[in-house]
Amino acid sequence: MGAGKWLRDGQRNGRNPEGRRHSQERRRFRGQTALEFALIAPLYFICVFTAIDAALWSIESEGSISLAEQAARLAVSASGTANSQVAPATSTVLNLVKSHVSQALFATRIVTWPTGLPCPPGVSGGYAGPSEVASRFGPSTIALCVTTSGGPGSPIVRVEVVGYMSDFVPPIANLGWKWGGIPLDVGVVTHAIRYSS
Amino acid sequence: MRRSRSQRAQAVVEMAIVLPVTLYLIMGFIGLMVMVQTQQEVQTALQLAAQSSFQADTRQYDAPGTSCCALNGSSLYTGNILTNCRYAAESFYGTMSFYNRYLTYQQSPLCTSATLPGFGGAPGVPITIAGPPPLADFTCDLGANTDSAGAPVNVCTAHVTIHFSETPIGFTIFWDPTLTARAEAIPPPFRQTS
Repeated sequence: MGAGKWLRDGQRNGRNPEGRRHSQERRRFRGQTALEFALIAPLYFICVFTAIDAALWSIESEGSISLAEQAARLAVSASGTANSQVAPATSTVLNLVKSHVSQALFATRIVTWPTGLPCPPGVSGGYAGPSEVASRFGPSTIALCVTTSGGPGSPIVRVEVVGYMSDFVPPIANLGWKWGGIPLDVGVVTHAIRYSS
Repeated sequence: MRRSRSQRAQAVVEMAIVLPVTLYLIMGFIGLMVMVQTQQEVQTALQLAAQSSFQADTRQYDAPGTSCCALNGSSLYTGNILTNCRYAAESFYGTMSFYNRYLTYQQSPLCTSATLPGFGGAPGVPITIAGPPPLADFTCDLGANTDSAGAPVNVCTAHVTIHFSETPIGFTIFWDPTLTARAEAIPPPFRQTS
């Protein structure tokens, strides 16, 4: 007969006050352990997920900067002929650079922002831009937007990558981590190459 | 099975040691990520600045009164300097958007050198600037070197300090690291020259 059985017997018939005390202590000990676990476990998981998310955020941000830079380099080049004054379409640019960065963006989808619409505002605009992308295309999606401004000599090309990147941490209020992702806004500006004929 | 008072105290002490260490490590981890990301963004901005400075006519100057690039409510005066320099500034400031609140840049003349043919005058003649050259958050040395074919090489440099001490990351990285980025570019083979 094991000690546990003896204690249970003592507890049942009330003939062993020592055993009863041990049982109460054991229960108290279990309660304390459960309480400690309840306090530590969330903290531990928050730490682990934060570390994973920070790494994800870093890799995905770098992937997005690369995406924007490569897109800008393509967008400033002439389309069609060497003397063309027309930039390639955004969808063409995206198709060319997408494969280079898609692996660094994990579960984040890359889409083209509709031509003719102004680019969504960035993170500095109170997460309105990423939210606009999310409401239009769904969560964990970033949109590539290319705009050209300025005169015909050497117009300024601006490429923006805006949206929510995929992450592991559940949404946290007031941190802008909504739509199941981390807000992203990368903007790249350069001057276009326009060849004289 | 009984936990003595000393054991309970031990648990509290363990917790008091482990928790700050864990937070310390996490903050350090996030700080490193921010540093890597800032370095990459500055590098990208400089690379685009170095390349876009080739897009202007090589003998074209900005008219007096010209300015560009919104800088914390002010602007960068580029009148009387090579348009190439303004193009570089527009690319740099347009691209740098992350953490600007926590970054300070070492101020340097926007453009230097330009002593080679095609950069503002005859060989050996520096850029003509009315008054002192404008100070900017980066500097581009136009035509500082030549490549093997004799083409001018633009070299842009920036020194950026990240103020971690103003953020929770300062708990771990209590100093303000300074990053240096440098980018070079050679002119495109069929660049516009007139």
